Amino acid sequence: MMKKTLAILLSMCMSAALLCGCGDKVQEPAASNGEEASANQETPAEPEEGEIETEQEETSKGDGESYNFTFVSPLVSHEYWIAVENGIQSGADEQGVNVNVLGDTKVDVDVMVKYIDTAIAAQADGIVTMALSPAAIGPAIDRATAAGIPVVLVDTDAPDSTRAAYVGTSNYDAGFEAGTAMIEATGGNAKIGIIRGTVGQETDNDRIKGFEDAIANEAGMEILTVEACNSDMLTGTQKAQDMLKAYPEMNAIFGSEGTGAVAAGKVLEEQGLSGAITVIGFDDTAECLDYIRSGVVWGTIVQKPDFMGRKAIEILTRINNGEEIEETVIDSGVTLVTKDNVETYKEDAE
Amino acid sequence: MKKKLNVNSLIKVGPLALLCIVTGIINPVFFSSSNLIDLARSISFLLIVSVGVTYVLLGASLDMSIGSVMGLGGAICGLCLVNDWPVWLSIIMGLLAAAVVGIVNAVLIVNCQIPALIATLGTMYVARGIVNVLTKGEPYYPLPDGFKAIGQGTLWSIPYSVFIALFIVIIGHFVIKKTPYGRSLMAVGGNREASRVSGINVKKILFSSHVLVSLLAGFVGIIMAARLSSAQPNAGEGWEMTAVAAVIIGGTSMYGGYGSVIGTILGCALMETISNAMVLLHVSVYWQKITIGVIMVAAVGMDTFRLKKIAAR
Repeated sequence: MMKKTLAILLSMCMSAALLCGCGDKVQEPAASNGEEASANQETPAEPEEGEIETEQEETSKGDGESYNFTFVSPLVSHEYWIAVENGIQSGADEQGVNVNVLGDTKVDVDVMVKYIDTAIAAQADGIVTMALSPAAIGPAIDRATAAGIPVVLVDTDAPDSTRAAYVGTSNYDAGFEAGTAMIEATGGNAKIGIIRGTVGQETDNDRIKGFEDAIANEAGMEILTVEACNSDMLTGTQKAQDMLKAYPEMNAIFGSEGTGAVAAGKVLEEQGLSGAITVIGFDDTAECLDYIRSGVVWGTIVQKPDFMGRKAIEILTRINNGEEIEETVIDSGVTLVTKDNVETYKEDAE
Repeated sequence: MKKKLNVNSLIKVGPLALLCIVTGIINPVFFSSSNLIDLARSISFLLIVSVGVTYVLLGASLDMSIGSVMGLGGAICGLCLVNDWPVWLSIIMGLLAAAVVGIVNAVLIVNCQIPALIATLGTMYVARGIVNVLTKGEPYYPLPDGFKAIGQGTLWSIPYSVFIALFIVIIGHFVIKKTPYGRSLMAVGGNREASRVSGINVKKILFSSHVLVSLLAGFVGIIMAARLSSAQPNAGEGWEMTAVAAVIIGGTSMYGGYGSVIGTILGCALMETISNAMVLLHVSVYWQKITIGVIMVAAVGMDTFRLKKIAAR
């Protein structure tokens, strides 16, 4: 028994030590995120100064009441959803409201429904979430509305539910943009290999469908193959290598999520094929932007997670202030980032 | 007995050779040197960690945390590197972090007697969680060139990782076949109680095998980060199943006491060759999983059938 306790203590200490040892450095990326977020807004609100200032702002506000909103994130540890969360936080700072973030490190619709119900039980003033699966999330949204809690969806809509508003761009449209960009980049002549995330992921399905429809009328455009990399970078590089071998005529690669284009970029750079093959991807990870700068990747489609988050908080605040929302579907649009605007697109977005 | 084992492992090449020949006939690109080098590199990553898994399975234990440990090793190493620590020190830190998880696993399994599956599932979550906390979902990038060379450099146009894997395989094979430690490990896996009674330090053997697999997993995580020029937060996800599958296909028993590192080479080679061949043979992505499953079962089935026939004789 003694031994057991000791062993458990020991293992806890070790994991704690692991965390502590790295604690100092962890804050750096977080702080730089904050800076980016603050650089993105026009208002001089400083997110780093934290809640104290927010509260002061609230009290100085006329209505004297602070709202408590809940953001149910589908995936708290993902770059994209972190960007949405940052947008929500800066939106909260602008509006002078509090936001509580709930979410898991794994995409699980049941968990999301559970968190939405938690927010209802906690009588939040509003909920921001995304409709991972409209069929499953819809009833939860209806429950919230019935309880008098407005729900704003970001990224993915559930049009049949009673949600108050939706901010986002459909993945189909984003994929269509990618297809249009591919036509532009290759002059309408391309034999394309697609690297997707996992088989059966709806986001990917919609983007690829949009991509296919965009190039459908171009006689010179053809999709040779679709491979899945499971959003794993190493698998992505292996798939890219294999595709280059299997389809020597391939001259373009489309990555339908964050991994594909970067993985392809690594392989192309390694094999001295930079520029010979047109790569278009999704999301603006630091690596992807560097590949665009060096000409390995032609361009990437960027959704506007920061905008979605801020807009959602703005809408919720307005609803709570008793305002009527005339526009309930807000298209946040996408940005095509290429060598031309890679340095400026973040400011342009504002 | 010994001779028979060697012949057995040679015959196991059958399904793999068949797959290679069929693929090569349909698409001759398969045998091109650049494809074989790509393939060798894929195999080398899986192989390094699978040698460790072989040890753990031989001792009739299990480790589900290796995928997360790969991520952790790469992330800690990446974290040190982006803070301008020297390459050698960063690698040691990554290995240390992996070793810590291995020690925790070993303490939980050996000293606390928690079933290996549960204990390592727990550390699987904790280790991945630590990676998430550290990285906040963003990869560590960029990494210095001196570090990237480990994963991207080549000697006679063969990637370093292939040589590293060969080195680890040779040592791993030698230790199992020729040293008292290897024989003890086999004995412990075969019958834990009998081994204890006959004077083998069972705890020590199991403890070391768990630390070893974590170290190797962390090491692969580091090489992988070097290969990808970035430490990815989700690196290694799902690798525990691939590695265990490769080792079992290689003929190592899930119940311990029987198996070999040579078999593991074949298992890893088969797993990676299937995935390479799927693309070269233009198999639709929707059909790939079915095909992989069928080939895996067929490969093991051929082996089992053959062994049965031998036994019946």
